[in-house]
Amino acid sequence: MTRKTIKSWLFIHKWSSLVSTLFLLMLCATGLPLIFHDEIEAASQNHGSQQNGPPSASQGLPLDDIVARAVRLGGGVPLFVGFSQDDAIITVTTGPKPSSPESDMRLFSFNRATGESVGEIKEEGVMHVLLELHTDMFLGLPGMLFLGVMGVLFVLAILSGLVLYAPFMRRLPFGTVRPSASKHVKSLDTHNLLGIVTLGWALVVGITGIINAFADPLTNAWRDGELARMVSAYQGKAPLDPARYASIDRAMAQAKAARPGLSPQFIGFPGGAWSSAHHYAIFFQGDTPVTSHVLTPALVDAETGTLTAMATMPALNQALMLSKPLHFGDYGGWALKLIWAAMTLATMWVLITGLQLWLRKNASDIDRRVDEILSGAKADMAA
Amino acid sequence: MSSSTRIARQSLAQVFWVPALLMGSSLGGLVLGLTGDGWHDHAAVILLALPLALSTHHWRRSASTPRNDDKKDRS
Repeated sequence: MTRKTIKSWLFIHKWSSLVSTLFLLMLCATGLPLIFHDEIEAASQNHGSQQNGPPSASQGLPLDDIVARAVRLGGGVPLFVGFSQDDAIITVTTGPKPSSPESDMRLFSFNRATGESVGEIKEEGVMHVLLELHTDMFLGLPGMLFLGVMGVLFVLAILSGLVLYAPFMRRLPFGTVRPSASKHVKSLDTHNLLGIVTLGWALVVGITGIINAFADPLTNAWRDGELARMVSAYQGKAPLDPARYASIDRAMAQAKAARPGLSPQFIGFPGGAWSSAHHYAIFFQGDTPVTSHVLTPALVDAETGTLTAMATMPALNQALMLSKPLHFGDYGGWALKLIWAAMTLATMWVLITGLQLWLRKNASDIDRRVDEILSGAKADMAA
Repeated sequence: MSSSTRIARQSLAQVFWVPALLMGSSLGGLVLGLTGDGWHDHAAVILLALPLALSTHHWRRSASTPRNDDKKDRS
């Protein structure tokens, strides 16, 4: 690799990381507790026996009954019903009108086996603040897209770092952390070692994070494209009045008859972000471990309770769904979560050592840095 | 040990075979965990733990060798 090539890659590596480092450190720091959000929430909410019973996705009291209870508590109209595959907890989201924004929504949870209210879930507290910071920094869609761009820079920094790893390691065995060297060389060696061992994980979490940042536009594109085509016969009809909603249980039975064996994950009510203006959109998850992350919506006419259409979502939306577990690390139990945490800490250390390398004196002397890389960073190079 | 850390110039394949192995191990683990529960999850954890274990090993090796100017123990 020529000096000129190394210089160009150093330039890309330096600026892609410098611009994104502070945001990436924030994402790591907020992401770390979010890995364990299930455990933290379970400990703080302590449902006790309130969740006991068969999975709410498969059986329990009629859905119409549960939804009516939620509407009595929250007023307005139902917007979403969420099922659990593990316990009897079922959630119902309500809002003043079918197209209510998220800020006007209220979320109630019940035990579907007994009908007992388990309480209103308020979007507040430390975990909620961390999640908002991590997702959009309280800035909504612009914040999400901005963090998506930071993700792109992160991936660019990883790839340029990988390119620079080659000339640097030409004369050093894998894993070298030169013990007698200066602090600066130690930072450099650590940066390279931790950077290269976290490479695969960091690329996957970075790329899936970018995909997640575009979740809202992707969902909107699906609703305005694929979904609109599925229900094209309804075009031009006035939105359905909630007073005329048919039985949800009947709708569910119709959808289940069309594709037996699938388990429902949630229902989007007419007029919301996840349905048309006239349909219950019942989202089923697949019955294998992989397809359980991919949703298939059944669109049931919310006035007549008859099935209009059922189709798997487009490839981009499926990629979005598969990218969620791969970003959150919540699909393989406790041990996988601990690995996620360790990888996050290692990534933070790569970011910090990278900053240290930039902050040292004469860091702007690009020729010296090229020498350092070309020579395999001579063991006794001064700081 | 510092002078003995340097070795003869390696080919790209020599530089990258361990990183490639670790990357394959990580990606394999990530995907394997998605495809099932039980042994899939255990294998995923082992494959993903491999890069972490290897870096810890190299860290410990360097920490156990005497240093001249760094008194802080960061291992």
